[in-house]
Amino acid sequence: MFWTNRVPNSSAHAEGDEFEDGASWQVKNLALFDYFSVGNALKDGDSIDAMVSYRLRWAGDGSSLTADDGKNFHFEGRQTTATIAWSARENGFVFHSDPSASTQHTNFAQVGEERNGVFYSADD
Amino acid sequence: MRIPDQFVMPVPEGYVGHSHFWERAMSRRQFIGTTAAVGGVAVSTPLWAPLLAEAAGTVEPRPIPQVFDDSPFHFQFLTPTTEPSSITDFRGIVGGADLLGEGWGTDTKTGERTHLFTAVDNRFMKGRYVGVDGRKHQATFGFV
Repeated sequence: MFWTNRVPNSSAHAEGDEFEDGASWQVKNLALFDYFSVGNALKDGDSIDAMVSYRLRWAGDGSSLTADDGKNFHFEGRQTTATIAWSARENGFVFHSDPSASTQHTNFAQVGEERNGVFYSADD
Repeated sequence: MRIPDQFVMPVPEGYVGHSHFWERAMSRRQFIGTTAAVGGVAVSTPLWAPLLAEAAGTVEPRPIPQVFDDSPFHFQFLTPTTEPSSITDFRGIVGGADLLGEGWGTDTKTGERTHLFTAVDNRFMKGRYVGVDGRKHQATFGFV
């Protein structure tokens, strides 16, 4: 799996029948490897241990969004905005993001229901 | 929000990636300030004790079949038409966010603070999935 890992079930919540109240995802003290650059990470190069915590919040504003490529997946939910507050620490270095919305920009954010693979056309 | 001009990521030699991915310039320190919550990181589970019990019985999911730009990496960038989940045979709730922001890094030895720009692509997938064992399971996964 590519950069995909198990996280606690209690860490993520979606709110509202149509996600109009957004969603949240909070993880504390997630142990990671700092690969220093994306290129080095893709090559699984040298890394050091790091720890991150973050709180992501999807606002639930925006508009409904449906995406379906006709064979792999179906997504139905909301295109919205999101904000994150996060921190990281490793040997000799700590980082704290500015949680202010004024310094953040949402390139793209979404929350919704998805089904794919064997569930793409299945009812269960 | 001002996007700094130096947000240009050098492409590794011989690798062809999505331009979006390389639009972030990062020094060694900037990377953790840029990507710890972005991707480019992998979980070191032995250091994450609270998760161990919950993860102990986790059956690995399968990746989505799609890759980007003919690479070996099974995910798609977040757009209105692409698949946000990175696992397949999945049915549940997905949240994805591609965000730019700012923050401060501190050298804990010298106290020197550095203003950093951040780029985040984080996603969660919470619901049912068919694992590599062919059985249905319930869990939450993060694309981090």
